[in-house]
Amino acid sequence: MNDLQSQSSSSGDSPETSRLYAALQGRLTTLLLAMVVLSGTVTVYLYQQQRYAVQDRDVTKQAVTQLLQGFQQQQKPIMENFLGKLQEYGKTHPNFVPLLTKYGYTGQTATVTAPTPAPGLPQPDPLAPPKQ
Amino acid sequence: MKSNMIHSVLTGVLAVSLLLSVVFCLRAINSTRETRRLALQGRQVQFEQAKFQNFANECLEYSKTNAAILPILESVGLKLVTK
Repeated sequence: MNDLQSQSSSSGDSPETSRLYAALQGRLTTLLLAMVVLSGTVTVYLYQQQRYAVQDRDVTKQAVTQLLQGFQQQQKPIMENFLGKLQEYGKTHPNFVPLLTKYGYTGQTATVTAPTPAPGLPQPDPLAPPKQ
Repeated sequence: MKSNMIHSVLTGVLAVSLLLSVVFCLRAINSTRETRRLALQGRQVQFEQAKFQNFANECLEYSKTNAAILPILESVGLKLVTK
């Protein structure tokens, strides 16, 4: 831009060239203004989106934390105790073993496999069928 | 000269706006990813509960033909709930 200005002034421009130069500068200003407005609109939109995303995350985090705590502290011990008794029962009643096997509650590995809230770790697919 | 200054200011504003857009975009992406991960954990717990509920139901069915299991079921209140 400065080069153009200096070239135009040093070479003794005609009024036509000066007029074209001024028009070009005007258009550039208009273009920049339009881009600023457009970019500002996109920025505001993205700001709203990230706000909603953060709110969603906070709400989900609170709900899942409560769910996990309730499960880990209340349900899981009862379930594991119950499964332990049923495994003992299965040792004396072999016809019950297929039921334990069907749900993957057999042997030493018969534990309730609820997730622990460890961020960043890959989790198994919850929609997968029970282990046979 | 004045025009150049306006252009510089506008270019600066544009740069700041673009930078903010990138920051907001990244924050939105990260938050959405975190939300999905948490929702997956919630679904896992629900899946485990449903699986256990199905298992308990089948145990109740089993108890109809094998009454020896009833004390175990009753110890966790299963029989009482279904009656």
